[in-house]
Amino acid sequence: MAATAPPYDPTNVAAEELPRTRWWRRTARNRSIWLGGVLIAVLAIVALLAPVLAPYDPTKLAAGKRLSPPSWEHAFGTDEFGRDIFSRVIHGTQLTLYVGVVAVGIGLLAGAAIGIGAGYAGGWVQAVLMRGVDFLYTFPDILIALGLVAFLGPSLTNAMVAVGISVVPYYARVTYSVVLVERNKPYFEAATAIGAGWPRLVVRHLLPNIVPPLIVVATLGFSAAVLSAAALSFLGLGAQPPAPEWGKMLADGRNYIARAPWILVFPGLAIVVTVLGFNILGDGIRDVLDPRQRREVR
Amino acid sequence: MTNYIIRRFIVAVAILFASIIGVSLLIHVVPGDPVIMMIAQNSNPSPEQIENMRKALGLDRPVWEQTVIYLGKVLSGDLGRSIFGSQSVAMLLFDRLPNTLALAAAAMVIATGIGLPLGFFAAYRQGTWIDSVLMVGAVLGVSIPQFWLGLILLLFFSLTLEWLPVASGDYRSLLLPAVTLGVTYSAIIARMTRSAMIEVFTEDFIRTARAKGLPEALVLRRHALKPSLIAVVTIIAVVFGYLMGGAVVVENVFAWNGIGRIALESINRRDYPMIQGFILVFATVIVLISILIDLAYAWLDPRITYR
Repeated sequence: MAATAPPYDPTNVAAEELPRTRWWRRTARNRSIWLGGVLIAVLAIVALLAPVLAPYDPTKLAAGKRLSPPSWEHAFGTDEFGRDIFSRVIHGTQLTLYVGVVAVGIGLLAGAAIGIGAGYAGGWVQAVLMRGVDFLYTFPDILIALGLVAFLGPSLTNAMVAVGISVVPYYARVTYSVVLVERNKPYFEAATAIGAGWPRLVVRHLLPNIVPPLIVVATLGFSAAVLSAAALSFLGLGAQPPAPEWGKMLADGRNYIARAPWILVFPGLAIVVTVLGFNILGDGIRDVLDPRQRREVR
Repeated sequence: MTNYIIRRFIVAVAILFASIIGVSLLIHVVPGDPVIMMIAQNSNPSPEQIENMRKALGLDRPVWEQTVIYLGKVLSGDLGRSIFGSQSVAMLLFDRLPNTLALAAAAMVIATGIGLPLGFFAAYRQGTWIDSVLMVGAVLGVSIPQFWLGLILLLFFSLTLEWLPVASGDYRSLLLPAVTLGVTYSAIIARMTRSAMIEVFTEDFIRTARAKGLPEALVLRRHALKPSLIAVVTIIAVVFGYLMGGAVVVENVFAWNGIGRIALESINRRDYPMIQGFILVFATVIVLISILIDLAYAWLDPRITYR
C-alpha cells in the first residue's frame, strides 16, 4: 500500500483525511444504515439463493391443493392454482430487485449524463436538456411510466424501461445542480486553466462530487421504482403470468381474498419490507452525507 | 406581481403545448404498426380497412404534419374518436373527470388533515420520542403500496365487516379509495411538513420572538404560522401531482368510475386516441393546479418580489 501512496497534496489533507474518517464513524454509528442495510442484504441473499430456498417450483400447478391455508407444508398457503405462495414470494424477490436495479440504472445513467452535459456545456445544450427535464418533472412518475407502457405494450421489460425513463428527471436535476456549483469553484477554474481536458474534469473533479448525492437519490429512488413497477404489474401492464411478481400475484388473487386472505397478505408484506428497507437505508445515508440535515437532527 | 403571473402563465401554456406534441408523437413508440395493433384485435381486417383506418387517424401523413394537425384539433377541443364505438374521446373523458377530481379532493383533505398536524407536532417536539414514533410511522406509510392497502381495506370493511358496499357509485364507495390515497399521502405530507417546520423553528425571527418573552402560543400564531403556510402550499402542490398518479391505480382497485379506469380499459384495448386523450386531460389538470398553487405562493410569501 505504502508504495502506491499518492504524492503529497496540500489541498487534500483537510478535505479528505479528517472528514473521511469522521464520515465512516458516523456511518457505522447510524442505526438507519444498519437496519436498512441488513434488510436489503437479507433480500439480496434470498434473491440469490431463491432456487435453493424455495421448497417448490413457483410455477407448478397443483389442482388438488387450491387455496389451501398456511400449513407446515405450505408456509404461506397456496394460491388459486395450487401454487406454493412461499416459493413464489421468494422467487419474486429476484424479479423485484432486478426490476429495481434496471429502472434505477436507466434513471441514474441517463440522468447523470443529462445533468453533466447540461451543466458542463451550458448554452443552448443546457437550455434544451434542462427544459426537457423540467417538463417531465411536472408530471408524477407513475403517469409517465403508465403513458409509456400504454404505447410500448405490457411486459416486464417495457415496465422496467418505462419506470426508468420516468425517474430520469430526479437524477438529472440533482446532477445538474451539483455541476453548477462545482464548475464555479476556484479549483475547477484552476484545473481548466492548467489545461485539463473535459474527460479529466468530469471524471476527476465532477464525479466525486456528484456520486454522494446520487447515492441518496438512487437508494430512495429504488423504493419508488419498486412501488411503480409493482403498481404497473398489478394493473396488468408489467410482469405477465406465470411470473411470480408480487404486484401481479396480488392482482391475480384479488378475487379470492375473502376466502383466502393469505393470498393478499404475503406478497404485499414482501413489497413493504423491500420498499421499507431502501427507504430506511436512504434516510440513513442522507443523514450522514447531507450536513444541513445533520445539524437539524442534532 | 402581474408580470409574474403572466410569465408563469406563458410557461404553463408552453408545457401544455409540449404535452400535446409529446402525446401526438407517443404513438410512434408503438413497436410495429399501430394501426394493425389496434384493428387486428377482434377481426381479420382487409388491407382496405387497414388503409381506411390509417387515413382516418391521419397516420398516412408525415410525422410533422400529424403533429400540427393533432395540435390544431386539440386546441379546438377535439381529442379524436375512440376506435371502439367511435365516441368522442373528449366527451367520454369529461364525463368521468368529475369522479376523479372528487376522489382526489377527498383524498387531499384526508391526507392534509392527518399529515399536517402530525408533521407539525413532530417538528415542534423534534428529537423526542413522539417525534421518533411519528417518523417511524411515516416511513412505514410511504412504504406501503396503495393497491395493497386498498385491497386490505376492501377485505376488511366491505367483505368481512360488510360496513361499506364493494361498489355502489355514491359517496359511500368514495370513502375507501379516498382513505387509501389519503393515508399513504398523509405520510409524505407529514415528512415534508416536519422538515419544512424544523427550518421555520430554527429561524432567527422565532428565536427573537421567544427571547423577547412572547408567550409560546403567540410565537406560533403570529410568527410561525405564515411561513409554515407557505411551506404547506408548496407541499400540497407536490402531493397533488402524486395524488393524480395514485388515483389511476386506486380507481382500478375499487372500480371507482373515474379517468383512471377508462385509462386502463383503453390501454388494454389499445385504443390509442383514448390513451392520448387521458394523458392530455391529466397533464392539463396538473398544470392548472400548479398555476393555482403558484398564485397562492406569490400571494403568501412577502420575501419574494416578482418582477
